[in-house]
Amino acid sequence: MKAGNLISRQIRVLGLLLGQAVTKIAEAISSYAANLLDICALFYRLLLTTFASAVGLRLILRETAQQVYFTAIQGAHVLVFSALMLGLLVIVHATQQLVKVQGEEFVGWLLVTIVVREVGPVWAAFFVLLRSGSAITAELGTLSVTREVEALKMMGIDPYRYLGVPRLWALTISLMALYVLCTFSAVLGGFLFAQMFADVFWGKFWLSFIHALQWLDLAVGFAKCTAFGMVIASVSIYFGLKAEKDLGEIALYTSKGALTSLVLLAVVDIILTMAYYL
Amino acid sequence: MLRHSLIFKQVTLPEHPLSWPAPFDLNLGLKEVLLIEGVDLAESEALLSVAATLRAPAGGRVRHWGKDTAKAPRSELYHLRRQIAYITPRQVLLHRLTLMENIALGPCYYQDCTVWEVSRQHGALLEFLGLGPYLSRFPPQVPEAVYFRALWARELVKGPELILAALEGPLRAGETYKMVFPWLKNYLEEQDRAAIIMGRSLKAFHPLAHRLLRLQAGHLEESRFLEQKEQPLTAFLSLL
Repeated sequence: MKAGNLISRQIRVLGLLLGQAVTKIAEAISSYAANLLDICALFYRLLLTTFASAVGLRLILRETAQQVYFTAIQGAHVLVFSALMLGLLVIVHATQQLVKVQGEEFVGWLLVTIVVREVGPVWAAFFVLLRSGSAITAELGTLSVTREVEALKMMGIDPYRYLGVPRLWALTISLMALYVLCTFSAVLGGFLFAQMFADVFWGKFWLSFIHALQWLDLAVGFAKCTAFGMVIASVSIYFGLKAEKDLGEIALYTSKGALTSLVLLAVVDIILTMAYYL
Repeated sequence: MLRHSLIFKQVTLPEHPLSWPAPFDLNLGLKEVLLIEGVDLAESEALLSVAATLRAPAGGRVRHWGKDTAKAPRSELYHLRRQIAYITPRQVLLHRLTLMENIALGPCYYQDCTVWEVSRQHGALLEFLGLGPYLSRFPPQVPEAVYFRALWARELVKGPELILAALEGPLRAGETYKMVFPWLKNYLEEQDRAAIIMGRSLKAFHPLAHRLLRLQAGHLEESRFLEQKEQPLTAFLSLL
C-alpha cells in the first residue's frame, strides 16, 4: 500500500515537472515568435520610413556615410587578413585531396562554390555582426537609456528614421562591399598558396576559377549579403531600442541581439541556398 | 474647444503619482500662462510628459489645439512636438553632438539648413543665454548651468506655441533661472503663446502668469491673477 502511494506521488511530481517544462518551452517559443514578429514589423517600418519623405535627407546621408566608414573601412584590414587565411585553408585541404585523384582543374570550381557562393557572404556577415551589430545594439541601447532617444522625439525627429534608417542601409552596403573584398582576398590567398606550396600552375588555377565562375554565383552572393545585412541591422536596432530602464539591460540585449542575428543568418542562408538549388 | 491649446479631460496619469487627483480635468487657454505650484520633479514630469505627447495617459482624453492626440498618427505627433517646448532638468542633449549642433538639429533636419544658418538666425537668443563661448563644445565638457541653458535654447529655437517647463533642481537655484526668465517673459508677451510652468515654488514667475494652481493633499486649488491683461471677464464672475 505504501509503495503504491509512493509511486503515485512520484508520478504526480513527474507530471508537475513535465507540465512546468512544457509551459516554459511554450513561453520561450511564444517570446521568440513575438520578438521575430516585432523585428519584421521594425524592418517594414524602416523600409517605409526610408522612402516616405525626403525630410532630413542630408543628415541621414551623413550618418549613413559615417556608419559605412566605421563598418566597411575602419576594420577592413582584419577581414582581408582572415579572408587570405580562409583562401589558403581551402586550397590546402582541396589540393591535398584533389592531387590524389589528379583533379587539380577543380580547384577553381571549389573556390567558387565555397568562397563566392557560400563562405564569402557568411564570413563577411560574421565580421559585420561582430564589428557593427553588437556596436549598434550597445550604442542605441545607451541612447535609449540615457533619454537621448526621447530628446530626439521631442525635437520632432523620428528616431527610427534618424538612427535606424542610416544603420540599416549602411550595414547592407558595407556587407556587400566587404563581401567583394573578402572574396577577392580569399581567392588571392588561395592563388598565392597554390603557387608557393601546392604546385598548381597559376594559369591552370585562373582558368579553372574563371570557367567555374558564373554571374549566378555572384548574384547569389550579393543576394545573401543584402539579406544578411538587413537581418543584422534590423535585429541590432530592435534590441538596441528595446533597452529603456537601466544600463544593465544593454549588455543583456547586446548578447540577445547577437545570438538572434546568428540564428536568423543561418535560417536565411539555408533558405537562399535551397532556393538556388531548386 | 478651439479656444484651448491643451485640454485634459478626466485624465489619469501613467504610474499616477499619489499626490495628483485621479482623474482630473485641466484646461489651458490659447494664450494662457499657467503655474502649478507644490509639485516635485517626478510629479511635474508625470503630467508634462503626457502634455508633451511623449506618453499616453492611463485614462481619459488629452487634446492639443482641439485634436485628440491618442488617435493621432505617429507623423502627426512628431509635427505636434515641433510646436511644443518641453523642458525639465532630466532632459538631455545628444552627447556626440556639440552644443550648437544639438540646438540646431531640429531646424537642420526639417528645414535642410546648416548649423551656421541656425546660429545666425537665433544669435540673439544664444547670446542672451550666454552660450556663445561654449557652442563648439560637447555636452559633457560644459558646466551644468550652461548645459541647462542649452536645453532651453534647443527648445526655444522651435518658436514653440506651447511651453511646458518643470523648474526644479539646478534650474531653480542657478543663474539659468535668472537668465531664462526675461527672455521667457518677453517671448510669452510678444508672441502670445501658452505655457505651463511647474515647480515647488514659482513666486518669481507670478508676474508672467494668468492662473495659478496649487497641488495640495490630492487636489488642485485654483487662483487667478487679476492684474493680468486679456483675461476673459467670465473668469471673474464668481467674484461679483
